[in-house]
Amino acid sequence: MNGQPESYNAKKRFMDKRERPGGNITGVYEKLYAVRSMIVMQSAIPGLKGKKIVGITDYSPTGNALTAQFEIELKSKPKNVGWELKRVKDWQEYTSLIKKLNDDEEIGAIYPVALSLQVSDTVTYTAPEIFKWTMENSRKPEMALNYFFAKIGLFGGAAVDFKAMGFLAGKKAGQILNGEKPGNLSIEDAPDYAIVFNMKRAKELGIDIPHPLLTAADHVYK
Amino acid sequence: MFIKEYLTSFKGKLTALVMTAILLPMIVSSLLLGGMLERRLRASFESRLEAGLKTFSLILNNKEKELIQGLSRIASDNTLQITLELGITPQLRKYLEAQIEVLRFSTLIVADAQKQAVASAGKVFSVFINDEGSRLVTQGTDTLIGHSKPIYKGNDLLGYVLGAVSLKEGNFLEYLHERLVDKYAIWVDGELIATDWKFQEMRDTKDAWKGTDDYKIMVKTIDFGKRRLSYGVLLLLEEERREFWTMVGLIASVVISLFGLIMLLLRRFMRELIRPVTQLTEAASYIEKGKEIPYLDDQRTDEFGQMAIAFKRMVENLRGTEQELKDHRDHLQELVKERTAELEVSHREATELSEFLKKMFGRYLSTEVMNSLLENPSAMELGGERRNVTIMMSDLRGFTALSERLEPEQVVRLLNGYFEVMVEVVHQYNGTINEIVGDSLLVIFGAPQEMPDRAQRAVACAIAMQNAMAKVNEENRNKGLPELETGIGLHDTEVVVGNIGSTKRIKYSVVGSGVNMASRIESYTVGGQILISESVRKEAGAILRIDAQREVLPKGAEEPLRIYEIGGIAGLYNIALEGKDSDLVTLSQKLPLRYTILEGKHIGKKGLEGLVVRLSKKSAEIAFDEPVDLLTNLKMNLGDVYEELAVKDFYGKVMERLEKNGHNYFVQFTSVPPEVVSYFQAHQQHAVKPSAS
Repeated sequence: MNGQPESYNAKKRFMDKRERPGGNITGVYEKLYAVRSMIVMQSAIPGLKGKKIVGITDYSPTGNALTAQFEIELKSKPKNVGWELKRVKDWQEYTSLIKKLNDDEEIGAIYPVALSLQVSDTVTYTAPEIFKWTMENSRKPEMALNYFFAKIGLFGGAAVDFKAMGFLAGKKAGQILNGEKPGNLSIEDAPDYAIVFNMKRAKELGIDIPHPLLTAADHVYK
Repeated sequence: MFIKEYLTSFKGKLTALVMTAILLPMIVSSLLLGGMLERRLRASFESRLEAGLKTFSLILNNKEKELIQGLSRIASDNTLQITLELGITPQLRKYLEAQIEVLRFSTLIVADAQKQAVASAGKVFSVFINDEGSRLVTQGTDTLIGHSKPIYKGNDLLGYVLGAVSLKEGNFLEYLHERLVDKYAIWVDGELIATDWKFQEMRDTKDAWKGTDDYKIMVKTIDFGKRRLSYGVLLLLEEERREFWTMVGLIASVVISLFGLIMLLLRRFMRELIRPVTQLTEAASYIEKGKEIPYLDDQRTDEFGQMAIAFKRMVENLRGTEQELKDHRDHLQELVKERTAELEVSHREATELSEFLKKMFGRYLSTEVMNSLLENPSAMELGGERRNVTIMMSDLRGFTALSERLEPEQVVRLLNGYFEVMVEVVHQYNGTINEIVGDSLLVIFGAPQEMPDRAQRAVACAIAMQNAMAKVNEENRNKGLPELETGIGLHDTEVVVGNIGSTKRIKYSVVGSGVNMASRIESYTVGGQILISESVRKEAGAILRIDAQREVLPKGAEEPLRIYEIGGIAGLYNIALEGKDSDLVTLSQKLPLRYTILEGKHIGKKGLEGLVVRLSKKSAEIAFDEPVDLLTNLKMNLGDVYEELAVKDFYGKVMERLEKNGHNYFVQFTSVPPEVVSYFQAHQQHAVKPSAS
């Protein structure tokens, strides 16, 4: 039960439309709320104004989906901050990019969502390894895709709220169990997003997050 | 009936008095206490309602104050500002939810600078409040007090926060119910929105606000913009009444208990008090019936004991005196019998005397006067008094000469016949015949009985007497007796009247110069004439018919006296003289006569001559050879013309002078012998013609 972007249905038709999918299909779409997250980052990082945020995806199916989501959500970009999406093929290209971005003053933050990077033919790094290295080597604050990423060490921002998504998914499951056909239930965007910050990472980066933002945050990891 | 008898008894009155003395203060004090209690209750209601309304106002103000303060704090909260500024709506919503939980508002809404709602928590409504003032907001069935605050960050307007508290839902009403002792009600724009009593049935708020017998209410209204919020507290009277009546019942129970206790004590007291009275009353009743008296408690040490002792002594004394009274009674009965017999004798004698007196005095007094005297014998006592009376004096004209010609028996018959009629007439007019002397009659009007119209009665009586002379003369003619003429004089004056004489011979008489004056006036009359004095005219008034008047100078009088000839009287009596003399006829041959002037009853100047020119039955025009005073009495004789008549004198009175320059006079005959009458009649038959004058 996972809603995918419309483009997916265009490529391989599997449902009639998001509002009335048909068949046994329904779900909750994991919306990134990328623009909102960039605005939150702007508020959290005073020096971000006038700089650029670089999104990093890979070429895995998830990476493809995320790339497509960025394209959709960032059709209208926030003011005062730029956006650039970089796609990396493997671990080496990722590390190179991170190092390169470290030296680039125009870059204010990164949005690392490359979650599957092949190191060798037998080794592929996923989020834990990737983010561990990133936090050790990157000097740019990282936007977290979800609050779990912030929990493991990324700087934070407006992250996907799995809890809210799960609540909505559970609600739909309840409706199905009460006899509603799944195809009659529309596919809905994730209703909420979470504001999360990792204070340890912020301290490492020398960023003083405004207190009001911290009080408004859903999770602040220390 | 029994109650009435009981209350009129001493026992009943005493019981009523004591009960009134006890009950009245109790009732009055109970009423005063009840009234005071009611006033206290009313005041208590008022103060209770006022306190309730103040509490209500306080709760409402606090609610609004909390709303405003809460919104002010939220609007200035950085967290709100940053979530709004960043547009992180979920966090903003979570923030609002956290705040609404803390502040216990019904609604929190945050809008952007364009007043578009961004996030909300709690009850959602679409009405937006533009200013910072509080407003009443109706949302569905709920009514809320709403307020809004702008959210500024520095000088930048980020948006607005709007909050509202419900007046119906949430905990407000519960809170109100807990805090208020009494019931409450809330109206918005006159429409009831919440209450914990049965106000739903009262659509018209004005009626509800008046209160009823079931409740008292106090209402306050405040404005929220263009809307009105009214709230009131009400006091249910049923419960208060129950308490009141419980209190009244308690007081009544105490009063009744006290009354019962007092009645028990009173009964014993009354028994002690009433018993001797009852004994005395019964004893008195037994005495009245002549029985032996029952037991009397004379051992008591109070006044009743003394009364019992005194009563017993009184009974003993009564028994002692009873026999004496019986003896006295028998003696008195004997005396009464004796006195009654004596009185009967006296009464019989008195009756006989009365009858005798009636017979005797009835001739002189009218029945009314006589009865008056008999009823008031004191009037017969010796003594006198001054009294205004009208005195009548009548006298037969020429009777002295007539009586000389008649036998004594004839004179008596003539007088008796005359007086029989006259006395009857006098009695008809209630005159009192004072004296009958010869042919004269002295009658008084106004004594012994008072007569307000004495003069009128006297005049009317005189006229009636003159008119009755026709009857007298008719009788005389039938009996072969000569006809009579009478002259009547009246005078009204003050005299002394009274019983004059000695204890053996007494007479009711009139004394005074007025009697002589009446006699003198009478002396100026001729037969059939009535003369009255000025005093009679004044006393009788204007109802008299006066045919002539003139002045005379009676013998011995210093002033001339004006006298009036009466022809009739009007008014109540309405009577006039009848049968005036026929007209004079002129004789074909004048008759010489000789005349003598009489001074009163005495003969004066003699041998004078005159001629009878005209003649009627009772009068004549005579030409005298010298002037004659008017009202002079003359004795005349026709001896010169007929020898047989030389001894037949006839009499007359000079009434009027017929010629100014001559000596012709109108003479009214006062006494004419039958022979002269026949002679005159013969001459009248040969008269030339009736006289024109």
